[in-house]
Amino acid sequence: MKRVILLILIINGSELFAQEDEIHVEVPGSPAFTILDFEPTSILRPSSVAELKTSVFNSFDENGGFAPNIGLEFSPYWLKSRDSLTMKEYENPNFTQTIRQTFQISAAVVEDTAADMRKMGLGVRFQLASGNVTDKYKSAYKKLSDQLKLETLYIGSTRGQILAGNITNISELKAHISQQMLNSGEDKLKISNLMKVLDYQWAKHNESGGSLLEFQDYLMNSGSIVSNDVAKTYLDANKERVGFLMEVGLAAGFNDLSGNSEENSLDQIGLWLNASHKYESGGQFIGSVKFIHTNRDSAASNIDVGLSYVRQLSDIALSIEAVSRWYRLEYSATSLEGNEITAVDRDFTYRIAANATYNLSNKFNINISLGRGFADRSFEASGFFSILGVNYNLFSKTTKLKPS
Amino acid sequence: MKTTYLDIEDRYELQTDNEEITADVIIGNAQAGSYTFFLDKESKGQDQETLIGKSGEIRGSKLIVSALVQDVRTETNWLSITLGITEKGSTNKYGPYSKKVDTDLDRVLYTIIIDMV
Repeated sequence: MKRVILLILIINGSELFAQEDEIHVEVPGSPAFTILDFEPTSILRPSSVAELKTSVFNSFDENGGFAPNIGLEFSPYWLKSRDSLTMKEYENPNFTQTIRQTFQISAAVVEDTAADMRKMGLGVRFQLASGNVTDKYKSAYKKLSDQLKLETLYIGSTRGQILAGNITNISELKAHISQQMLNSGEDKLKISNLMKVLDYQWAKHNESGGSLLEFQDYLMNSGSIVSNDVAKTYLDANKERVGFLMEVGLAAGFNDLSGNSEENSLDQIGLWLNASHKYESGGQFIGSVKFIHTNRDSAASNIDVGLSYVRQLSDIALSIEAVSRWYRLEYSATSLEGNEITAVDRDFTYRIAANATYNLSNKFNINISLGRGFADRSFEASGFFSILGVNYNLFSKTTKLKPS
Repeated sequence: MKTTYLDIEDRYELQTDNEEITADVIIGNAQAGSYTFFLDKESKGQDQETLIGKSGEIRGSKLIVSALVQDVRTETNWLSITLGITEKGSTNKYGPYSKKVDTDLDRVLYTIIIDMV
């Protein structure tokens, strides 16, 4: 009997859980695609001015109009080499540098076959505050720096010595490397062992008639002296920031770029603002605003203002959130006297929810949510327990409550 | 993860006979890297502004700069360095030497040999 009840709870939970919106509003990765509610089949991501020119050229069809179902995403700042931007300036940018290095532009054209028109979306996203690096990042960066330092000194510098004519044979190459290792305080046994490895590798290399420069290249790329995994760990640690973060997204959607319709107009505009404070310990306060205005037969505006707290523990992710929604709909109607009038509907609703996800394993977790969902026009009355669900997740990756 | 090479040879005309000559490298594009300075076979310093020697004493020698730079930025695949040699408060710049790599984590080893004349 208990199993039957549990099964019913799980099935019902899955349906009820579907009522839940996202944990909190995030600035979309590509606002232009979001405003069109469309993911292009082909996304061009130019990384240089020349590639951007080619991408723009490829965005037109044979009739000179914008080709449909193509997206474009790029960061203007990173289209060229930033020769004077140091790691330190990038990690601790001032206000203007934060905007510059995070500014992204997105654009997309989509064919709306039902309305026989093409729609275009244009969007930008950028950060106003990018927080600070994490302790995990600092540790990973130190390991990477130490590795690059040793690799440059031991192996990299041999190339210059070979090119300058100071190293002409394998004995001189070994003497150079062992001297640099000795100067760096390396253990003599370690040096001795490495020299044996070099002897072995050189013997194999020499059989095929390789030069000293080619041997130096082999040492650089073989990873026989230092690990290749350190840089990968650094890349992972590099994705996370803590402290105060603020991000903005803006987008506009336009109707009919085909010229077939007289409705050449602004269709939608969107604004996303996300401000958060993330702690090294895993907690994060998030404030978010989302504004969407749609200008069609009727004009509708939605504003969501939310506040949430997300806490990631070892196996449990917890969040509480409150979101207020203001809704305004303006449309043409006929009065009882038969006059054409503009009617306006306004509404306000809110959502409060608490969520918990418990990870039983990498492939199995249980999600519980409890709270009050948004009331909408077809569901005016909404009790506090309008969101109550137990959701299970089998054979998929671990669900985590995503911080921004 | 692949390492490619950029080898540069140049010269620096010493303006004085008894002034300190220092050298430094700027690694651009917010990338990670390390660099060493050798005067002929002698190691002079690493990863900071380094005293190479007095101008009169280093004339005729070769300054050998090795800089290993790794692409750790997902935003760009550009790697670049700029070498500066300072004598009596005046800095002579070499570069920037920029190279675009194919994928993240690829590296460039820059070797700059400067004849000090």
